[in-house]
Amino acid sequence: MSGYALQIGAILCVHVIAAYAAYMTLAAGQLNLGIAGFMALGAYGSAVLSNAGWAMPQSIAGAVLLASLVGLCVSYPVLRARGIYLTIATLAFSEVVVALILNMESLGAASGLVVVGHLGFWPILWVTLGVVALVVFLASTRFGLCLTAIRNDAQGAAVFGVRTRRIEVTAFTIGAALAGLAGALYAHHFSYVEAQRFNVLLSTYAVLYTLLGGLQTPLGPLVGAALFTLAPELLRGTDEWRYVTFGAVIVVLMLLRSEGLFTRSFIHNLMHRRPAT
Amino acid sequence: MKPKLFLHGVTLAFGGLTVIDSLDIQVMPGSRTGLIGPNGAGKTTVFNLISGVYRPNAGEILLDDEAIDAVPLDRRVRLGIGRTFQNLRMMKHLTVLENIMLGQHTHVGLWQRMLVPLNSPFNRAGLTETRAAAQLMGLSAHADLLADGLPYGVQKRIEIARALVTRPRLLLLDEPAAGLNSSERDELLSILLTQLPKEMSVLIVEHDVAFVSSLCDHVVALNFGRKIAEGRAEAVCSHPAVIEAYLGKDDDAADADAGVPAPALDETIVPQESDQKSERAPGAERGTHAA
Ligand SMILES: Nc1ncnc2c1ncn2[C@@H]1O[C@H](COP(=O)(O)OP(=O)(O)OP(=O)(O)O)[C@@H](O)[C@H]1O
Ligand SMILES: [Mg+2]
Repeated sequence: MSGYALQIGAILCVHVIAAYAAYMTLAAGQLNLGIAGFMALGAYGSAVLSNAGWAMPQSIAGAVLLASLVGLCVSYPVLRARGIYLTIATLAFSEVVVALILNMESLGAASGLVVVGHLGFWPILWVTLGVVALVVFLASTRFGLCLTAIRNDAQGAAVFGVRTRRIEVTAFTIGAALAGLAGALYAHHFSYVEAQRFNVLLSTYAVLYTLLGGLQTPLGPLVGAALFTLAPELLRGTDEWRYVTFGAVIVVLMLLRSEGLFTRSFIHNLMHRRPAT
Repeated sequence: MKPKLFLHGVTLAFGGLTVIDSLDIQVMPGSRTGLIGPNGAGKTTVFNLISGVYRPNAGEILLDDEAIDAVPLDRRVRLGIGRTFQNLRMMKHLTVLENIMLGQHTHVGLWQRMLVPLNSPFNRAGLTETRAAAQLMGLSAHADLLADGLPYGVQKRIEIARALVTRPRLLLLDEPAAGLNSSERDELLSILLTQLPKEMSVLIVEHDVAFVSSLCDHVVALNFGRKIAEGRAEAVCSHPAVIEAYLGKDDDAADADAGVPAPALDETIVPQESDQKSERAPGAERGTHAA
């Protein structure tokens, strides 16, 4: 594969993991726009640990742990709010993380940080496949059942004994861990981190991939991230019009398939389609 | 004998409107108690009080002689209170089997919830119970379909199957036969008569007098949140206060309210739909009110 293709592949993997980070909270019915903040924690966490002499796998694991702990602590106050207020709280959290980093000279402030230890495409791909497998697994358990039930009707789920708050906290924390992982992989792939990169647009894209792919199955985020990372690349020839085309495609998709591309009934129809006679 | 469930002087008001007014209801262990009353009488609200959706403003609710008012909504099912919803609360992104399986939630340990896929052999007991409940309610053919677009009568039966797998000791059925055709209704009646454990206590809201009479050993009639009659089914259904409640005496609707009472049933008490009620064909849920 060409260097260019490997580069795109690595970015795609980071996008897929970020999309799963957004998926975890969205699956429980809440919109988390703090993905970029958790990615920043993961990226800077792993950068600092590597630069302090830790081996790469350990520093990535440490960074994921950091992101999940922060996620767990943040989730309690954040999940007290619902809907749009929760979203704004996560957005604010993300901005605070970036602002803190920008003000810390030891983290390179605005000029960023060089990261020791380079991670190529293949290991990133394996990790990504592991993440996909993990989320598919979680979605197949009662935990996954509860996420869907809470998204559909939280009070109805509570009537059957589902402790909705706990499930939401768990989902939020797993999402934070995944975002941290995406950030750490990103940092090691580009060997350089810059706080300004972790802005709201990054979170927005993670959410967009998930919503366009669909929340109903754990494959939605994968499909969404793949399609919408690769499509702009394929449209590269058309230059200035590609973002217009891209935007138009998103609008049309949202109108035609408001539940996302990959819904359960879509899969059901695919699997039960009788061979033509 | 001590009652299984005892609502003692329970009062609930929404804003200034008293919806349940110092209500006393007893459900004896193993009994089949009917709760009847015109639209807006407060029957569903009673269920919401028992299952913890609302807290009473006054009075207390005793289960096996213990006050349960402090028990939050998501802990009541552990006490053995299972319920169905009049307005169907299907999880639209779950299949029929998965919807039923949700009812087993409290019978499954934490680690199993996180680590065991629903279709794996480690969940065999759960699947077997779910399939049995689905089969009992005649849902096998729909098992793997999404619950969402299924016919009303089918969703109604999913509600019951889901309540049964909570393994309730007190089962609350809110208009289980509403919207079913007469053969489905007979089938449901025979299931409820023969398949429920004898020791299970059941409280049933139902408008169909024949249904209530064949199933219930005891009936409580409500109107405007107050108990207006109580006793054996035939006696309560023919009680003047009950007939008057269903027919209404001061009907100010433009319709002629004199003369033939039967057709006026649906219009007499204006149903004040609460905001969570889903839209349905009006009247589809009403049974034959023959008083
Ligand atoms: N959440 C709520 N807020 C305000 N009023 C409510 C609420 N829930 C119920 N009510 C009112 O309480 C009264 C009793 O309603 P409820 O649903 O218990 O009646 P019901 O006996 O179940 O009637 P139906 O036969 O139509 O199901 C109605 O007047 C209704 O408008
Ligand atoms: Mg009702």
